[in-house]
Amino acid sequence: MGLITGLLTLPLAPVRGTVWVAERILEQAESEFYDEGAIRAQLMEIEAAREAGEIDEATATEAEDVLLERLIGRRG
Amino acid sequence: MSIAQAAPTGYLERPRPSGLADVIDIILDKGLVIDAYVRVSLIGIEILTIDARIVIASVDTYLRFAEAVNRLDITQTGSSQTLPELVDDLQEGGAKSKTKGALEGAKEKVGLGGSDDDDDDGGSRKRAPSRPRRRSRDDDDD
Amino acid sequence: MTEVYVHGVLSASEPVGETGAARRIAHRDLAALVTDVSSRKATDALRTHWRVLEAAGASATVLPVRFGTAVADEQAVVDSFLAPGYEGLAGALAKLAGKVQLTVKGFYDEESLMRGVVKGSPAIAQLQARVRSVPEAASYYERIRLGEMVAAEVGRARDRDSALVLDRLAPLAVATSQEAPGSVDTAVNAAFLVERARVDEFSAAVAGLGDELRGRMELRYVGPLPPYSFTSEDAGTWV
Repeated sequence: MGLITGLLTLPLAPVRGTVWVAERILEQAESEFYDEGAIRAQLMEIEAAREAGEIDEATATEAEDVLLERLIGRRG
Repeated sequence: MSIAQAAPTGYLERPRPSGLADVIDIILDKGLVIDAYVRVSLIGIEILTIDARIVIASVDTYLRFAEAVNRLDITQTGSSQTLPELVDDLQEGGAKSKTKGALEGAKEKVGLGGSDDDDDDGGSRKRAPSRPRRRSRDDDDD
Repeated sequence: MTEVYVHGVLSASEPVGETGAARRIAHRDLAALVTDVSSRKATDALRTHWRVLEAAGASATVLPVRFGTAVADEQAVVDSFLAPGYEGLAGALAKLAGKVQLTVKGFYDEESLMRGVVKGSPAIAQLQARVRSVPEAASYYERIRLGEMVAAEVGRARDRDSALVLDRLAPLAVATSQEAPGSVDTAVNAAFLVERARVDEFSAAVAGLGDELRGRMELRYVGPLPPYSFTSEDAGTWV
């Protein structure tokens, strides 16, 4: 969801003003940041498990694909 | 501790071959951009650039940081607890209630059972601050 | 059906080594590495792109092209890319010849980071103690304030640690590119373009940093990579 779309769907809260709105925008950007960081962290964990032989290649690839879809999709 | 710890920085003496996880950020963000008018991009690349400073300027982030610092055992600030004791305390108190290990989450996604992964390999570490639970409606503050 | 992904560019005179299933489209002394667009799955495309660049980059200098780039057909590779871009591409390849990208990332140990933050700031320690002494419901605003102070300290720590790593390593590199942090526990994230002959020296410096920083953070040292970070508009700092 783009930032602009998100802004348009925010509930109106006249008493909050621009700070509240700005925070909601920041939170969305931030949740994308955290999600990206979390996705990358998970990818690294999969890599570590693969290197340590804890999971086989097929499993690792499958798990990666799930995460990669989210990562690429997020940027679309 | 694991064997990896015995030769602490041996793993840095040569650069390691990259896994996809190591390069995913630069694969997506970097590289030559062919002139827009000739590029037929099958995967849209609309990149949201996030300045790290802006990211930390919100209530939710601050609460996460407060959470992280509160995970410290109060007796250890300036105390004589040994590092293994500190690690035990942290693992006991924090790990279970916080987000599952990333590998657990990923394993479950692809339908594998989760077993308890021990944090005992050289490569794993406590990352700061952990990804918190999803905010539910009730958490929406005022 | 003739659409092709464009993965990278290299000198046509490079011996034909492993190219991860890509083929070359040549123009003058340049060649682009391409594969047919056969699957619309983003993850397939990503893996192919990565594999092609890793394989070709192992033995040649390859300029990575942005992931997801596709053109109408092989002729378009020449007409729309190699021909009009010839000077720039040839120049970039010349600059990058004989050099590899090495990436250094550092990730904070949470406990160590938080301890350092508390130790370094009596105000944070005091506020932490106050927060702990009341039920969570009663400390909402203090927790926000506490988190804000901690976040600022983490930002400062990241700046200091990034500077430390860059100061140590940049002199051994031809170019550096500092990347966005990527995750909140990132202490440093930087790419270095290093002459092949100096890689061992560079690695020794990285190992030395690893020793100095052990306990506070873990370094991840990766390469040799195709020069992703040095082939975009924002192409790093050149010595």
